[in-house]
Amino acid sequence: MNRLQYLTHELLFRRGRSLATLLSIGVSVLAAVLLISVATTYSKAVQAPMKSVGADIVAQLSGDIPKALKGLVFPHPNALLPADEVARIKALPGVVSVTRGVYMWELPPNPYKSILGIEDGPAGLGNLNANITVGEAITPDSNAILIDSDYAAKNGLKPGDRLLIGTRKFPVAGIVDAATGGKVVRADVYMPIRLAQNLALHAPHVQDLYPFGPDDANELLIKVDSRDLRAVVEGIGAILGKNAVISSGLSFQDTLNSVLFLSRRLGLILALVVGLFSTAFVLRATASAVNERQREMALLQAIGWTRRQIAWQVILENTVLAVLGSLGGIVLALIIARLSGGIQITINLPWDLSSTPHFLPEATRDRSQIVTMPLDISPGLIAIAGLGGIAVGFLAASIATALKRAQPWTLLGAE
Amino acid sequence: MKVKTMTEPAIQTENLVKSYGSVEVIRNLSLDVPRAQFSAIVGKSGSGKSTLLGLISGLETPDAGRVLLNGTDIFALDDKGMAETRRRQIGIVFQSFNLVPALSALENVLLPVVFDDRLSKAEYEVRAHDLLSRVGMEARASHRPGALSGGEQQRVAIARALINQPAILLADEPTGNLDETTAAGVFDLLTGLTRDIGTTLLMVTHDMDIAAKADRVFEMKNGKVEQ
Repeated sequence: MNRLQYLTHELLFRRGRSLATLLSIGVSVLAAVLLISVATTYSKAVQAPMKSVGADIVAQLSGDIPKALKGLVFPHPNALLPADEVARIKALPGVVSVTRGVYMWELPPNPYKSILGIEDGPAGLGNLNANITVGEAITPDSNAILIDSDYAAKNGLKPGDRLLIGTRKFPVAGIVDAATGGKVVRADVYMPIRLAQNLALHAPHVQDLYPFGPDDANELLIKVDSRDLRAVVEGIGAILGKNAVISSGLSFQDTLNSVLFLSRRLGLILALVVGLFSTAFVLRATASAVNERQREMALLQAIGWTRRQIAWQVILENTVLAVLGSLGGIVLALIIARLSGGIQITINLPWDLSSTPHFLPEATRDRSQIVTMPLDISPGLIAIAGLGGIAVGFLAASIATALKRAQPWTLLGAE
Repeated sequence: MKVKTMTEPAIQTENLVKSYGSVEVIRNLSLDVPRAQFSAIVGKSGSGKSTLLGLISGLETPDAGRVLLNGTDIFALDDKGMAETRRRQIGIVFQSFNLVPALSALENVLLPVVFDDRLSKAEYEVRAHDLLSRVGMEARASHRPGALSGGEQQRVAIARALINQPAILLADEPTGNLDETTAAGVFDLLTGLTRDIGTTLLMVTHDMDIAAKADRVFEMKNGKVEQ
C-alpha cells in the first residue's frame, strides 16, 4: 500500500464529507468564473455600440431650435458648418478622410423621417451600398434614395416605390441595413449629398436660421488614425468652439467609464466575497474533518509517521478534492456559458447620434441598441479561478493540521 | 558503536515525572524492563500505569526525567528521529484496537511501513499476509474493521504491531475490551509471537491472572512502581 491508495480509500470512505468539500470549492469556482465573466462581458457589450455608431468622429455644431417644427428642418445639434472650418478640420494632422453630410428631419405635414445626404467614400455612400439587402446601389449622381431596413419594414416600402420628401417624390433604389453594417450615422433615408443640399436650400425653416448654400454641410464623418484620435477631437473642438458637438469612441467611452468601472469592480468584489465565504466554509469543514480524525492521526504518529508526513497526507487529500472541485466548477461554468447564449443588454445611444428626434415617441425605441454577447471566459480567468480553488483546499488543510491538538496518547491510551 | 547485551534493559526510565494540571500521575519513577521477556504493569485505575506506557512510547511528554529505549534517550530525538524509533523499534497494541476504518485488515497491517524502504513493498506484503495468517485473519484480510469483531480487530492490531519485527512491544490493556475466551486467545497470540521473535513485551493489565504469567511484574501505586 502507498499513500495514494490510503488517500483514495480515505476520500471514498468519508464520501459525504469529501463531496461537501468538493462541492463547496466547485460552486465557489463556478460562481467566481461566472460573476467575473458576466462583468467582463458586460463591459465589452456596453462598448459594442461604439463599433457601429459611424465614423471614428462625428462632428456637428450646435445651433438654434427651428422657429416652427414643420417641414424640413435641421436638428439643433446640426447647425451649418462653415466651409472654411471644414477645410481646417480636413487639414488637421491624423485626419484620414472627411465625409460631409447633410442631416435633416422632416416634420409634419409629411410623416416624420430622418434624412441623411452623404458624400461618396468608405464612410459614406460606399459603405451604405455595401450593406444593401434588397435593390440597387446609388451613386453621387443618382436621383434615387436608399431606405433603412427598419423604416422600410415599418412603412411597407420596397425598391421601385417612391417616397415623398418635401414636395418631391424620390424613387427607392434599395433597402440598406445600416445598423448591422455600422460605420455610418443612422437615418431613415439616405441620399447623395447634392440632393439633400438641394432640399435644404429650398427649405424655409432651414433658411430661416442659416445661410445654407448649395455646397454646405451640417455633419462631418471623420476617419482618423487611431493614435491621433484624442488630438483630432481636441483640434476639432478648438476649431468649432464651445458649440461643437463631437461624438467619438473616446467621448462615448468617457461617459461609460463609470459604468465599466462599476461592472468590473462589482464582478471582482462579488467573486472575492464568494471566495471568502468558500474559504471559510472549506476551512471549517476541513478543521472539523481533521478533528474527527484526531485519533487516526495520533495512531499514525504511534506507528511511526512523522508529523509532517501526517500533515501532508491531509493536505494531499484536500488538494485532490480542491483540484476535482475546481475542474468541475470550471467545466460547469463553460457549459452554462455555452447554454446561456450570452448576455443581452439594451443601451441608449446619445440622442444626438440617434436618427429620431427625442420629442417623438419612437425615440425611446430608436435610440436604444440591443447588444447580445457570448459570455467571455478567458483562459486567464480559468487559470486564476482554478488555482484559487486549489489554493483554498491546500490552505484550509495546512491551517487545520497546524492547529494545536491533544497529545497522541491521550487519544489512544486506555486510561 | 554501542553493543547491546542481553543483560542491558530494553527499556529504562529515569526519574520520570508527569502531571495533568495539579494532579501528579507519575512521581519520580525509575524502572528497568528486562530485554526479551514478558513484563506486566499492574495497578488500580488511575494509578498511572497507562500514562507510563504513553511516556515510554514517546506519545506522551514527561515533565521531567528520561526514557531510554535500547540505550537511546527518545526525548532527545527530533520528530523524525522519534518517528523512526517508533517505526523500527516499537510496536503498540491498544485496548481499543485503533484500526483505520477506511482500510482493509491487510492495509491496516501495512500502514506502518508506507514510508519504510528496508524491504520492498512486495516483501512487506508477504510478511503482512504471513502475520495475518499467524493471527488467524488471512481469510479476512480484505475486510474493513467495521466488518470485524472486537477479537478479530485486536488480532489485526497485533499483526500491525509486529509488521516491523520490533524489539519492543507495548500493550495497553490489550484484552480489556474482549470477552474471556477471546481475551485468552489474544493473550496467547501476543506472548507466543513476541517470544518467537525475541521481542520485549511490556503489557499494562488489570487482570492479575494475566500478570501472573509474566516474567516480571511491576505494580504501580500513586505514580510509583513497586517491583
